[in-house]
Amino acid sequence: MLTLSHSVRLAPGTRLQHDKVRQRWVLLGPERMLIIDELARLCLERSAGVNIGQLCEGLAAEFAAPLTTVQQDVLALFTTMSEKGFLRHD
Amino acid sequence: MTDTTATDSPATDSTSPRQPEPPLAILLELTHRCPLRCAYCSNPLTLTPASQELDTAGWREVLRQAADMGMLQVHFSGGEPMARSDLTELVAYASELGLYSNLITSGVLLDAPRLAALQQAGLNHVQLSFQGLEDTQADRLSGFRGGVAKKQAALALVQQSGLALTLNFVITRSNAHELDAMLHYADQHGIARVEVANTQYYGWGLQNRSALIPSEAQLDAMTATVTQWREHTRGRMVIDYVIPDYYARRPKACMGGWAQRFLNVMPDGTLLPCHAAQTLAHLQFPRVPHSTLAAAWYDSPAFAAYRGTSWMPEPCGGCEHKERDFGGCRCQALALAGSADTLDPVCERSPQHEHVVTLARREAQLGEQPYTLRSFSFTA
Repeated sequence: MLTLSHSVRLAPGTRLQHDKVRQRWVLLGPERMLIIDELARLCLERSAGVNIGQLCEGLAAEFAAPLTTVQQDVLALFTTMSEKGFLRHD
Repeated sequence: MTDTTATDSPATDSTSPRQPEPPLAILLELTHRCPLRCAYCSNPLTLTPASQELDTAGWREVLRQAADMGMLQVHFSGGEPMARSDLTELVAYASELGLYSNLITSGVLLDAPRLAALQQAGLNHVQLSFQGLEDTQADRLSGFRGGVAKKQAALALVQQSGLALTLNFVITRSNAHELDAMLHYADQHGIARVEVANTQYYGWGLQNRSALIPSEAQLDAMTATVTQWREHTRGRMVIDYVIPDYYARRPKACMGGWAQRFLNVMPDGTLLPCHAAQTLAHLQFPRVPHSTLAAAWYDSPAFAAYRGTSWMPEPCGGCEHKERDFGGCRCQALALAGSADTLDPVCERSPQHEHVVTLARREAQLGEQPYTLRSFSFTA
């Protein structure tokens, strides 16, 4: 199970791409695609080099949001992405 | 970000024709040539000879138009796409255009130099098929001797390269008993994504259905095995599971809906909403270079024929599932019920449903049957 002490990265064969025609961001993987919103993109872009706990602290401070809510949301997001094969964790 | 306040947008009216979204992905059947002769092949019974294949410039133009329309993924398929000597050039061009590229291969033509060249060209993903792990059944199904060893060698090469990889296990009545061993093999090799793909009954697969179709008992056992392995490998291995839909109560959402998401190009440049659609002989499918991809998608009567829900007969038109399964598969309706305009008989609301299930049950009891292997000289 994914925890705050894990750090995540995109799985091999997965990439974040701007879909110019439809004006949105997508995660592209083998025979699959995930449309992601701004917040999900922010989480992915800022997850490099930090663990999930540190990522959440940064987001909570920046958006003046309750840390526990941010932690729940980010863990839920990354868990879904992991189970669909888009993310790996260390 | 999500504005749901629009009131009279045509997008809210599912019965009126609307500009469809561009497709998300394109599948290129670069060639119908293949060293294997699989009895379940989804290529048409009349295979396109090499002399009629698009040339390199033709395929490059297809790729350019696909990216231009807003497609995001390209699947290089066949036949065996590695039988094309310009594959690396086409992959490189797809990368240059920003397309996510997937190579769908049997692996038997793969060697280290070609793989290195493809990786250098920017290939994103390899899908490697296995017709089983036991030589006898795999050789019989693919009409190719010693394929398992060659595929295992290809698997090792791809893993050494670090390219993303999916293993595709093709399942029939004769190898269904190997499923647990297949998934064990995949997990042992650290594979991140596996497709458990029961053969579908189109093209050569339809021709060989009575030899391929598993029984309901086999299907139940497969489902249990997949469920166990999903639980066991959660977070490290994703398993996609495709069943033979003859035993289902509802039809599959074939291709995510006719001409909604995918565009398929045959070796000679014929443009189709799915790989089997040329069986619908009453439709005239456009072809490059006479048509552009955009003209085919947005303007051709063939692509519009079964798009959305307005074409649907009853009870489909009034069915609560119509936006989920889009009426199932038109090719299957034609093949099994005799008309592409009627219900996919896999649906339990079809008057033909019981007939199809009975047919499947009867054929599944036939034991080991000879296959009609794929060939360029098929005569019905």
